[in-house]
Amino acid sequence: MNLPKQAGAWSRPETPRRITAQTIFDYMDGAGELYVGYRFGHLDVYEYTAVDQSLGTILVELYWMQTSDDAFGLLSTDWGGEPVGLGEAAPDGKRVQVVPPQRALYGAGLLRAWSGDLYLRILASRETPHSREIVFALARAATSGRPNPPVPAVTAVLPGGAPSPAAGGTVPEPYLLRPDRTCFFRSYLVLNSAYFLASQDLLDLGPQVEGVTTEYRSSRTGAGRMRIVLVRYPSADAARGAAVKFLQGYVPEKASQASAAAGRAKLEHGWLAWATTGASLALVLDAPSAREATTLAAASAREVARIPKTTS
Amino acid sequence: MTIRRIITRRDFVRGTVGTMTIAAGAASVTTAAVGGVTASGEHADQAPRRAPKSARVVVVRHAEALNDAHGVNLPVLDRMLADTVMRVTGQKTSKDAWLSLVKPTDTVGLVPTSHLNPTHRELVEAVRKVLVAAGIPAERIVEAQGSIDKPRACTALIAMPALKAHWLTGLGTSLKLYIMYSGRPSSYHNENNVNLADTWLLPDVKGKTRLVLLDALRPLCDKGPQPDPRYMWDYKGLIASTDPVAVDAVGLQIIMEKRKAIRGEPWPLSPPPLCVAAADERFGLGTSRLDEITIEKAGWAQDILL
Repeated sequence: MNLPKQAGAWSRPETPRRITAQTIFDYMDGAGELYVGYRFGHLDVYEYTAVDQSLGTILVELYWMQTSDDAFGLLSTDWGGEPVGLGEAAPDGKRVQVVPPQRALYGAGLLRAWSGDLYLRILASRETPHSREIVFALARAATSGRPNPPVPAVTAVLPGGAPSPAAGGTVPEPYLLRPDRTCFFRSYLVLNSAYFLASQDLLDLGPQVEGVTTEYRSSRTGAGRMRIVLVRYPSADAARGAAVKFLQGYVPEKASQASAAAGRAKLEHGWLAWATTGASLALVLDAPSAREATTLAAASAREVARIPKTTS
Repeated sequence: MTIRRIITRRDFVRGTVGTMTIAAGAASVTTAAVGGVTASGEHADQAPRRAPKSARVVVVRHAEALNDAHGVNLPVLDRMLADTVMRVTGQKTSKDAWLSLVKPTDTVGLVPTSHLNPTHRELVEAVRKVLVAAGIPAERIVEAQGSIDKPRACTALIAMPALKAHWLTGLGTSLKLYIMYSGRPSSYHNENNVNLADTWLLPDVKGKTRLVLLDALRPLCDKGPQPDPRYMWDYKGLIASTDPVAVDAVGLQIIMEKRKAIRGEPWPLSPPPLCVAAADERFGLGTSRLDEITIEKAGWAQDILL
């Protein structure tokens, strides 16, 4: 780790405070579940302080996650803020349009960034032009030379365009994906923070599962929006089991007659459609029509099922 | 009375989880409850209708309560505190107001939010100072946040939460304040958060809270409890009542209006704060319905969000 000992008016201690999965709740209590929900490894905390206390402190939190997908997931919980270039190399793999392109975001003294298996938060307790400059410099130092992997596969395959269904497209016109609403998750708690589905886990989510949710918004006035929840499980059996559990918990009045493979239902908040293909489960909610919901669900589940098994 | 049934998004649209929670959790909702199922699993048309309630909540703000560096202006805070407690109690002096809430023979526990966007230390000390001035012996004023032995040793509690959204429970304010007393705080971070009012009814806690004094000087309207300055703003207010549910309902309204102002459109809390309506309708701890709450506003009116 290349964090400088001295950064402008601030300096850091020799060694960081190390936070593990066992101590994260002592460090941040209810916020700890967020990180644990993403396969948290450990956290290194450096607090930069200045002789002149009126300058405040700069807190550097380095969240070392088990995979790049997990670090990405943390950034994806909130795409708000000013994009910040960290001098990273062009991403490996195909560029995707389903999330905003930036890997670092800044606002009001807080910088958040994704860099391989590292998620970092750098927070200046007093925001000034000088502290902002130092926050940016620390972020660049922490991420310098690190890999720039692609977004999680289940996120990359989200239907993102607006082709006509008649031409075999996957996103019904006139809906467009909202990249700033795309969130990668493994935990139902994180899903609920992006889109409240239920007070309990109806989808058998957890550390071995990859999920993504986003919103499609219509460009036509008054036509509303659709929500997709797309999950990739370790096996087809797990996907089917999750579909059955979801139907029993969310659509109990239809669960006994419904097929876990695919189906639709008109609910209070719009049309719901579901589809399982291989180890994938796609849910489309809030849709204005059955056609739009089933088209998107079926196509999305197929796309996830095509992800090679080696990708995780 | 503990709620175990799964609550889904459909319950919100049906209008079966309480008016306040619906408003906080959905951008557009139809409130038809015919055929709906309540949070306790009963059909809406069979669920007990509760008796009407009422509550008063005082909101006192001052434009100079915080300086440009978000530091507290102590003299202004002292005046705000006096104004707040006099308005809540209807007494003519600060001393009389506090003595209408606690006695010199009480052991008074001050219960602030202690961690991550905590209650301002200055507010805790300001309350301690006025209690001493009112004649409560200093040794009888203790900090009572933490383990259950702390409220057990007290005869009166002053709840002093900070106003903040919470990524697990929707809102992490009055109803979440006593979570440590449960001995198992993490158990409320999942679906059990709907039962947060439980913690106010623990034998060593129940009935002891004389005042809920909400620190709304610099609230957090998203991503709590971890501080995120993008979602903090200088509201410069104190909010108080003897009804903790009403305080949370008013705090929630402020948070929702601020979120709407940030995005330029309704920005529902997710997850929605199930605990607020449940505290009212299932635990009987107070009222969550804004039409039952009289909000008395005083001081700085700009961007009051109410």
